[in-house]
Amino acid sequence: MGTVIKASSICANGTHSAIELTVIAAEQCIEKAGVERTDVDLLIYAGVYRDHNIAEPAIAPLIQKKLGLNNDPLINGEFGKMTFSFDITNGECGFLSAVTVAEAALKSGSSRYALIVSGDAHPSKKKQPDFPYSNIGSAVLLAYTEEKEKGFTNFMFKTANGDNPGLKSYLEFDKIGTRGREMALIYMDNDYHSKLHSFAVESIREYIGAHMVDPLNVRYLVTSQQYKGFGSKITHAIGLNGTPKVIDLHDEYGDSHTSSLPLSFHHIFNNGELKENDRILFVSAGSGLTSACAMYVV
Amino acid sequence: MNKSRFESLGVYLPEKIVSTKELIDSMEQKPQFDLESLTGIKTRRWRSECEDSYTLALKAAKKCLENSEYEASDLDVIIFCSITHSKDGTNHWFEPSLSKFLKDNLGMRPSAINFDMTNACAGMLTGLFILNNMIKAGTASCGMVVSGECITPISETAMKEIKDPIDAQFASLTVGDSGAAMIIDRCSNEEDGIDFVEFMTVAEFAELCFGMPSEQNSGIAMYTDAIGIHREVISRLPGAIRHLKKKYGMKGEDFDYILPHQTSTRAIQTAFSHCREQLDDEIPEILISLDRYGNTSSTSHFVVLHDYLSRKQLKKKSKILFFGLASGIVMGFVSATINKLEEQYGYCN
Repeated sequence: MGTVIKASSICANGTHSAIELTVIAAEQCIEKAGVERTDVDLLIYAGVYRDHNIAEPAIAPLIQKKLGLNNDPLINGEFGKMTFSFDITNGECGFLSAVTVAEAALKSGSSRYALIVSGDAHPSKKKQPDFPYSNIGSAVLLAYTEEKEKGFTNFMFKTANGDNPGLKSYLEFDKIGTRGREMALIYMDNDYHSKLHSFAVESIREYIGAHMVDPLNVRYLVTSQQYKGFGSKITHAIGLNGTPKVIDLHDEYGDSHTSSLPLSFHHIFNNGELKENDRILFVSAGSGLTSACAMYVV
Repeated sequence: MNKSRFESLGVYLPEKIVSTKELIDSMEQKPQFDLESLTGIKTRRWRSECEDSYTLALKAAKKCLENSEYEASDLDVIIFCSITHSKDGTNHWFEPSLSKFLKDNLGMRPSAINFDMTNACAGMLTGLFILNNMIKAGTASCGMVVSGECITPISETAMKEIKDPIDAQFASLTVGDSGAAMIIDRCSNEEDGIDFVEFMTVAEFAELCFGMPSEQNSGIAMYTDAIGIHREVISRLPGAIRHLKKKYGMKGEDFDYILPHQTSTRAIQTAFSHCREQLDDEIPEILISLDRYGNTSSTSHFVVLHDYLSRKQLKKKSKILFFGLASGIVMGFVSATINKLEEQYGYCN
């Protein structure tokens, strides 16, 4: 029993709009999944940055409208199929947070197909050299299966105590004047990456111990992509070399932030590399410090 | 499958009270209509200089824990659900999530699940949708849904910017600040708890209300086509209720109260009178506290619930139909009894 990825897709077409990137990725994802779009009854946007810093509505309804997912459930005076949309944010770990939310909806019978989308483009919708994240839209379509040991299992979330999150990002209304729709200020401590590495290593060690994971049975490790070698530095620190295979797409895509995990999954899924019962360890770590781990069985 | 219930409620309201008259008197371009009689809002609470979304949420969360049988370390989940994300004054936060700071400050376990969720004025009810699913699915045994809405900055922007007698920012004058938190837990008592949570997003009309930074002044603004939203909601509400009646076999008489999102007294009454006519069914007593608190956005249902419970105005073993409404357009319903909260606050005889 578990939540399985029926299809995934990404968009990196150079567009600078989180909404447009996610809509393109989502369109492809729904088509690949082969499900009717009227059956997609849950839509979650998991990106952190929002076009023009829109605070309401949630970004998800704006995406839903463009996708045409039961945009008006009232048909001929009767309510038919409906879709519910909202946003989840948890920095780098937002994707796995959204998966736990979707899983509970699927497992409790509240939802049949859940679409999780994310895309972090600069709020100005223009290229900004100081913005550390690359413009990647991603989409995964989730469904629940009664089949034993399939899909996502054993989620673990962890935050470090203390007031210093390592990376802080906000809109300083006192300083930005009338440029509120164009700004996002990101402050990163000099030692953020080294602290994040240590925290990710500590989290994976704890995860392996708590869930009795034999790393030799894990075929792939997909991680955040803050810098080239983030994943392999972790496996090296735990004393694992070669297995699991680390997916590192930083050279090609840069820091894909909230889309890192779906992007890496899509890469191996799309290459036809995955076999039945392959185990993939998803690990994200980011501002907070915050980490999230989950095992995925194909 | 597990069932969940409201275990505890905590509401924090800033001390400062600002009247609608004061707001209107200070404006250069006054509305053509009487805002107070149209909306029923006489006063709203207003943040002090040292309050922001985070501190309002934290105060509510602490009150909620004081009223609860749980310690912070027992909670499996915390979901921060507000539209506004101010912390350290007017800074609007993106990363990390504000739920991370709340989790630390309350003393929750580092392994508890935390994230922020936003869904306009349906924030806390969407949090309830998520946590109810998590409890039913066995992901969590208990958790907190919390929101701090420091939303009066949109009123300040509107007061500076309204130039037209029919302006898209008039709805910004109806809001008030607040914090609200509730603990939801697994429930074994058949007579208490949440019967159903049913939500939809009518995305066709997603663009009728936008909250975003102003381009004329520093700060956040909200632009609402209030007439458009009212028109689309009122034409769908009877159908939505008919759908619930069919799906859950419910009737108007099953409920003691209906608790709608707090927009304007007249709009709420018009909408439910229309439902009464269309459905030929009883509409239960409608709970409204707009006169004193205005529209507190994502916390509205819980500010009203706290208000009625504090005044011991609810019947013993009340069954309530919560009606959620938000930009998106989000429409949704929660059916619940609140016996545990009535034990906390008391009830009318």
